[in-house]
Amino acid sequence: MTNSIVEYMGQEAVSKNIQETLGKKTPQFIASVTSLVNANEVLRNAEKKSVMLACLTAAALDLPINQNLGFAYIIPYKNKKGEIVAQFQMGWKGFVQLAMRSGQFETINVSDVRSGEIGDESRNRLTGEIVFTWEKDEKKRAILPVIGFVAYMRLINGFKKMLYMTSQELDKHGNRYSQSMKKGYGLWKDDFDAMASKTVIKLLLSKYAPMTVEMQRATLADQAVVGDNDYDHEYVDNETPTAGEIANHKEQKRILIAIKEAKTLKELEECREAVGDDGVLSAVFSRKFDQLAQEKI
Amino acid sequence: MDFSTYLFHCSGLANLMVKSKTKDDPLSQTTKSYLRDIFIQEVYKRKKYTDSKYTKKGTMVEPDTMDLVKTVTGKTYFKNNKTLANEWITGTPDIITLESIKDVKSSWDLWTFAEVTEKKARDDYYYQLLGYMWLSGLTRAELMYGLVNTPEFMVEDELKKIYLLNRLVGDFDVEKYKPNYIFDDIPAKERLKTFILEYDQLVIDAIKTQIEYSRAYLGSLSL
Repeated sequence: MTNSIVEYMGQEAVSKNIQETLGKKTPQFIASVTSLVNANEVLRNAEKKSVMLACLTAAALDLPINQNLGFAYIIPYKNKKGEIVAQFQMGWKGFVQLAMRSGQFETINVSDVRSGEIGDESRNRLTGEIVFTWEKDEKKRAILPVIGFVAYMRLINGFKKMLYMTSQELDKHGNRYSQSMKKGYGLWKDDFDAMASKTVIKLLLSKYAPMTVEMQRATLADQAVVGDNDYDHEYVDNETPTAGEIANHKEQKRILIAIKEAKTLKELEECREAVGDDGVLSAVFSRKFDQLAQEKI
Repeated sequence: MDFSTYLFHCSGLANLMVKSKTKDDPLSQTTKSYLRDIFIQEVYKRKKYTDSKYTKKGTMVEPDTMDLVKTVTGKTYFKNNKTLANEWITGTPDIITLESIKDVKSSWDLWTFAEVTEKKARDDYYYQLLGYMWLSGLTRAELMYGLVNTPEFMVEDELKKIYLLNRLVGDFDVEKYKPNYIFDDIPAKERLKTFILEYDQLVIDAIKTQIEYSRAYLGSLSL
């Protein structure tokens, strides 16, 4: 077979690079890359270098690339030039694995949270901690709707922290950071729970955990088409909104707040021009107008 | 393409008003270079890439700066989206009130904010605001500079860049640079500078003359 991944990895310079990075583990690496690519037709057509570098990143972190294990994924993506490239993605288990390996964690875990397991009154505003009332009956729990995900860690030195995000917040996060989710496909669509679990654990670790070199490398390479060095990573599936979109969103929020806070019709009138022909703002404006008119203020 | 009625953007008027060093030529080299960019953009539909983190932050935090204005002055202003035009220029002022035009600028950090003086503000934005006054018929403009927090993901990007560079010299603690992008600890009053600019018909006449020369120059350009 011409131009196969095996042939590519057999090229002198490439083979030397793999040998230098992995040493004795090279034959095992070549076998797992070959089996990964053979099992995925799209990946077979992806740019060879990106496949090899993505797999090499996983191997350097000592994480298996067998997709069924959930530690790390190699995902084919079409970049802006229309070429298929391979993207490296950490799984939540991969982050847990790296954390535990650092020797600084006593425990780290992630869980979905079902309806009824959290209430407003159980939040501690000061510590940010939430008291969960877990449903003990697994059968009953399985049919309850998932309302969010929580990640928890406790270090050997006693430091502990949790991070909870609602399903809506996670959905928003996915929409913001994944172009493919916006278009209705990709890991966020196919396996929301896995991506949600990974998001809470990644955010928890990146905010509060001691960052080992391995963890930093994993965080940088996650969701990137891996380059020859850390400077060259290209984040193909990330798309932040434009500066203008962010500003428009903030401005709409400001107008909404001003309408809601208006105490007199005169104050409300000052918002009229800013409301323009925006449907949502117009509706809120009309309701407030009626309310203030009834109160004759 | 006919440039005899071309409308110049207020934000670019300063480029037309750069003094020429040659007596016989009313247009400076800076002006000509600016006009060449317009020519390429209008005729060949290619726009030069000029985006930067400073302008990105400026755009993104404009509503936050308006909130800062509210905190300091007690007045609520909303962003104007109406583009004004006459037979010479066009532009979209940030805020239009019954009394004045207001333009909001957001500084990148404490250092750039500290550099803002009345002279610098005038040098950078006088013609733009004069253009807005001309378009709106108002005779007073307020140029407001605010210092507000940088959006979180931009801070993360900056810290990531610093990390990548600093690790080469063994400095892995990038968190110490985070306060450079967050300003909540500084009183709001200290984070807002306002400069008043007045309408001047003589300068407007000078702008009109430069626009006539510039339109003629645009009409004479080729690749």
